[in-house]
Amino acid sequence: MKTNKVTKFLFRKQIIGLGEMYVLLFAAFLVLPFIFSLISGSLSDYSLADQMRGTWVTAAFGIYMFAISTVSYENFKFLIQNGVSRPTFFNSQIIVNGLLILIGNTFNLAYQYLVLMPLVHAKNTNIFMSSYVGYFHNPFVGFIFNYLFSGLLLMVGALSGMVIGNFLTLFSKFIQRIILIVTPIVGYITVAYTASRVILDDRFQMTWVANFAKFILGYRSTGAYDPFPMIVTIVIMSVVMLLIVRYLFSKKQLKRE
Amino acid sequence: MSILEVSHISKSFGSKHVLSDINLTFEENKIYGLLGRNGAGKSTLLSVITDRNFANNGEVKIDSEDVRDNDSKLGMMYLMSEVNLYSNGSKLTQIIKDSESLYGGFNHELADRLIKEFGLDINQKFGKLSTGYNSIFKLILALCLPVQFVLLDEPVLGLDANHRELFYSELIQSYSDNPRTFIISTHLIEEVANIISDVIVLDQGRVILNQPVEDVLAKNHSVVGPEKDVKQYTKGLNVIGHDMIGNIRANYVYGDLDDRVLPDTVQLSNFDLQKLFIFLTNQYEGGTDNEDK
Repeated sequence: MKTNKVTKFLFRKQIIGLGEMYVLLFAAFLVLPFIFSLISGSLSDYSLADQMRGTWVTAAFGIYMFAISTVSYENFKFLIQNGVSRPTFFNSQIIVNGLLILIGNTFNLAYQYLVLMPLVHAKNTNIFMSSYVGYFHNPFVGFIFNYLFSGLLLMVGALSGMVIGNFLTLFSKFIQRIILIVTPIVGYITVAYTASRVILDDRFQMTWVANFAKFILGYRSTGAYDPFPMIVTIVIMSVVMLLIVRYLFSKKQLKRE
Repeated sequence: MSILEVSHISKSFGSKHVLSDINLTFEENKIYGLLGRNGAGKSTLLSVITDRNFANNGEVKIDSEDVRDNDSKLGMMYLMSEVNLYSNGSKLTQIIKDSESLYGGFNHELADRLIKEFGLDINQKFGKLSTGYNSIFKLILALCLPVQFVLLDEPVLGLDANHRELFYSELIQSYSDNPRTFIISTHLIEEVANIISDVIVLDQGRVILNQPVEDVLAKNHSVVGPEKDVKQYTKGLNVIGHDMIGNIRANYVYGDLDDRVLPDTVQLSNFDLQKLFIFLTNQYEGGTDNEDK
């Protein structure tokens, strides 16, 4: 089965990249400050707990997943050279992303529960912990949903990266540059205009947009947010993006370089 | 027995028609020469055959099965081309390992011998290879992977004369040890003329010749002699080109000669594939159109 071989190939490449990223981050956030403290003679001010307090470890994985998901043309080139079809590449990439999310999410939550919470007594270590954990009275059920919710967020992030990256690979480098320059400008203007109109409009609180947003976020006037509307929304978004990515993979071709 | 069929393939880039209704059949264990001038559509055709690019129309089949998005059929072909699809940062050993894994085999014995003969440093990174060694590395992969169809697009690009000679002899050796189908796209016709069994000439996106080399050469006739006699003798034949040296004229005829009597002043011989190619491709540009009239 070629899918297994391609999955192994992609997984090996991307897990090595993930390992390298963690090594670099640990060096940048833990080792370098220690060395600077040592050199500057302020070693007494260096605190490992302080260095680990930030959520950079967990955020880094999400950024990594998004970033590697945007890059697929290099792998496409190698795979088409080796007689691998587009559907096999798509299936394998989805499996690899799933495996990486499983590993990264487990690592992230282990880090939160075993390092951040006991060591620095952090509470709001991620979106779920700051908004939804109070919905569950049983801590174990809360942990399970934390794992599920975080995994789904990583999945939607990775799929967003895949949509953006695979959409861009359909175009020449020149058109890609234009899209990359124009899109943020148009996006910023649109968001700024919409936000200013909304903020200026006192009636916004009463509009259906606000109510819909509250529904999606699971806002309850009684207190804790309900995570289920958000979970369902993320699942629907993921399915839609998965279909878009599959379509974009089927359109991949070698570019004339 | 595997057969590669190309049916009604057309391809355009914007308003430019690169391939127009190409129909070809590549049979097992033959060496095809895909000849054409620069921009004739050779590389595009090979790209479409290996599903790297989509055709606007038509289909490519191996054993009656469409190759599009078909792992088992795509895995029967390897296209070596000047386009680099390997990552510059990858070590050659790793590329071989990954290619072996994806194709399900690799002839290490042959590869080791070729690496030694060509003097390739296998511990280098792909991006560090010179143009010549870049071609050599990809040729080694092409010869050592277990595929039924080896497609070589300008295989000797950047190779010096010694390496070119070595490559051709290794190609023949590899073919005789393990017969399979080779499609060699090149414009260095003289170099492949003695290797190929069939010749396909592409010109402006159309197939203008597709025949066994033996048949093609049997139809090539150069008629040399005094201008008047040569013109008289070749009247009504398919004259595709001519040369003049003083009063002596050489008319190049492609096709069967009839029973007409050869004058004593005129000599008949064959001319080579390269000359035929030049005349055929010039003719389609209008250079020697109506030569036979």
